[in-house]
Amino acid sequence: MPTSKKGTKRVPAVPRTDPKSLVAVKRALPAKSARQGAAETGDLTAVSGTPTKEFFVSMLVRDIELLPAVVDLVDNSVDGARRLRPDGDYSGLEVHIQAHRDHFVITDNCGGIPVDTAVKYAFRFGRDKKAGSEKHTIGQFGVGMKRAVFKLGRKFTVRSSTTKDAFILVVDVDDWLSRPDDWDFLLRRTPDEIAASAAETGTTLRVERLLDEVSDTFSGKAWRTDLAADLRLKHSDALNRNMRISVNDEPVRPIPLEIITSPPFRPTVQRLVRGKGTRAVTLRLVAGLARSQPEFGGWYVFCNGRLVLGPDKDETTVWIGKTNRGLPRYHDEYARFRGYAFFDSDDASALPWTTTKVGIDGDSALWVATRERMRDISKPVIRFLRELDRQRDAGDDSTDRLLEAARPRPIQALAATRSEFKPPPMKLPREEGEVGIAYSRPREQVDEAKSLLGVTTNRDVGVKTFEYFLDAEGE
Amino acid sequence: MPANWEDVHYLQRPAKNIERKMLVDVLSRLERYRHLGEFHYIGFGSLYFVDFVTLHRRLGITRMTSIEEADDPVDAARVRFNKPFRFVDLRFGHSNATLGAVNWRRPSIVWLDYTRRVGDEAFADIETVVARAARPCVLLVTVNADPGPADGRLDRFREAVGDDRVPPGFESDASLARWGTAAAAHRVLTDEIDRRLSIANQLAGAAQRTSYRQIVHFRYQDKPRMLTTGGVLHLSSDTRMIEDCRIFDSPFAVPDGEPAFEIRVPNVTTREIQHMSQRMPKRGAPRFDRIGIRADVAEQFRQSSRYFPAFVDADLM
Ligand SMILES: Nc1ncnc2c1ncn2[C@@H]1O[C@H](COP(=O)(O)OP(=O)(O)OP(=O)(O)O)[C@@H](O)[C@H]1O
Ligand SMILES: [Mg+2]
Repeated sequence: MPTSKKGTKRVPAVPRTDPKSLVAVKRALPAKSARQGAAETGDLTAVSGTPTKEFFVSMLVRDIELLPAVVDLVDNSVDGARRLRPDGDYSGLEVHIQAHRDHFVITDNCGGIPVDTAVKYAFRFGRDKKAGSEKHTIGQFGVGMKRAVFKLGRKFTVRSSTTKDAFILVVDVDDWLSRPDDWDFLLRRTPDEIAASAAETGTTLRVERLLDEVSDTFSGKAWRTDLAADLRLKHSDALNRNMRISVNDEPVRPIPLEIITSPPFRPTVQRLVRGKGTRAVTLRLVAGLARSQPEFGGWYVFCNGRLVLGPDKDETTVWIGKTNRGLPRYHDEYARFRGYAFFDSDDASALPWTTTKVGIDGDSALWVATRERMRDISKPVIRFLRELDRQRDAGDDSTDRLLEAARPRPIQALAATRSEFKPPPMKLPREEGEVGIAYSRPREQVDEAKSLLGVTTNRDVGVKTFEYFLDAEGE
Repeated sequence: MPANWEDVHYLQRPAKNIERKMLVDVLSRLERYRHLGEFHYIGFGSLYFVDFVTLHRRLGITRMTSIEEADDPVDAARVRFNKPFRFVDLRFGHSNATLGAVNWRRPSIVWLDYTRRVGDEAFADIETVVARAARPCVLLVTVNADPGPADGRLDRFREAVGDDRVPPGFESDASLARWGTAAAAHRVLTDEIDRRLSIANQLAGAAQRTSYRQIVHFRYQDKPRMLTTGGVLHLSSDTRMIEDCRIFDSPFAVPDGEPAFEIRVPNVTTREIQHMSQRMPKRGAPRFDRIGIRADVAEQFRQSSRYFPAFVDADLM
């Protein structure tokens, strides 16, 4: 190879010495606008709108914390796994993260980055619409990897091998920052590293000259626990599909995402499709019960398999503190509550997540509509748990015993068929501060109300119609 | 809050007693770094103040604060009566509420000697100590680390510390069996100190940056399994001076990454103690099969003999 690392340092344009091995990776810049009009009229002077690299990089890394940035890198490996194993079984696929005071490495065997993708897209800031988007990915914005490396340090090396080609890309960030107008990175093809089989394909990203705060964090210990805790939640789906992830050699175990599926505690399961064509979003909502684990009670929201929110215990989902509407604040008596919302789409941009994937885009119309539905299907489960608590207080543990006998199952194993949460009615003492209402209506009217409400007891008709009235007319 | 110190009399806790003495052995090595008599000792003296007496006698500490949760007037009067020295400052109230107001301006030894499990209580106090204590500060934490019944062990642990603090490798009931809960608690405590320290360091100027170096990691079992871990919070620029103390020459000091020191108290009679003490070999395994002492018991005795509670405890006033 003719071009040494040193030789490439101050070269303004791409050296074309060996076009086969060294390829410039074009950086996307929104720089066109200011220049075009200027050429037509004499008294217009172009004012540069090109961002300085320092500004650009500082903006890029500003809104993400260190560990979520690392999780972003795992997202890419998981996308690679999905590409490699469309059947969804990730056995044998691994992601290993190692970080120490002076370096960070993430390695996967998840297919690698094809040179063509690397040159045209992978290292550009932002996803180019023309790049032809892949289906059903976690990746969407085209920033995750770049943002992560800038967040981590000032020198990075990416090596990647597919079964067709391989490359290495080394970037000295300080050097790159010092060349204001040249946004390209240089990639070197490494034909001798082409993978012999799919199992040998993969990507290794190494970051050195870590930033001071990063180096401090990685010198300590707590980051390993923190990252593992984040990964076991965010990537429980991939982990449950047998992907192996480790942090400094410690394996990450998925948290159990469970639901009781046996009658009479079958969960509510709904499946809906929103939108059309490639932007169609399939939505699966599940609300029901599992073991009493205060830490895991709440709502979980996934976008293309990646957890973006949860277990949520506040008003972002359903816990809005309106007890009279059946939507109280989260409390330990709801430790058996589980809600799961799975958003899936071929087009990741149709999903309601934020660019950092650490939360929901609250403005998304799809999210707002879905949340209403989540609230609706939560109410019967919440009511059941409140009643269960009262029953327990009255010294009656019959329903508790039934629940103890019901085995929760992994959410992955839940059948796709629709169902509705209809627990057996409980005999209950009247709650303090409560009054009873008794009235009679013609049987056929009550029966009609039963079927409209989807309930089986007269008592439920009374309660539900009352709730319905207050919902519509109340404050 | 009424007192619960009648539960176990301190004389019935031989392992705890030994731990205290071993701890002093480790702490005394810091004398080369700073004169320990200048330190402020902050602890939970309870009714017996055994740690206060030991630290005063052995290290010459004369500034002491005891935090006492029992603030019921009758209990408080009893605590006052039992206060061993004039210079012990008593603060009534839970440590979470009172620790913040302690005078943190001089070097200190803080022993958060809980009888409960690791959880929010410890986290809040660790936060206070790391954020406020002047350096150097020796921070020691003791927690109950008994695994309890197998069923629901992980759930209980998770609830106590919060899911995001459950360390990798401790995600099953079985992993928390025997000393597993202690290992997990050790990691949780160390992580928490690290988290608090990195926040403190973000706020501090480069010259004020501090480090934490573990010096002890004990396990013992008077009845429930217990864990003590602790270390020195010191200016990062003092690292060399700390190293010069050769703390780890003490057989009881345990640096981070090394296995815990397990304090085992053999059940032996006074007659056996005298016999073995007289004949304990300088090197090599002690053998007392002639008087019916098994090899492992003899070895346990050898390790703890210097610190073994005497018939009349020397620390009694
Ligand atoms: N470990 C990897 N294995 C395979 N391909 C990868 C890997 N890492 C990155 N890539 C490729 O690089 C591209 C760019 O990654 P990057 O994280 O910057 O953006 P993205 O994933 O497309 O979008 P987002 O910003 O939403 O994460 C990916 O789309 C993928 O094609
Ligand atoms: Mg990505």
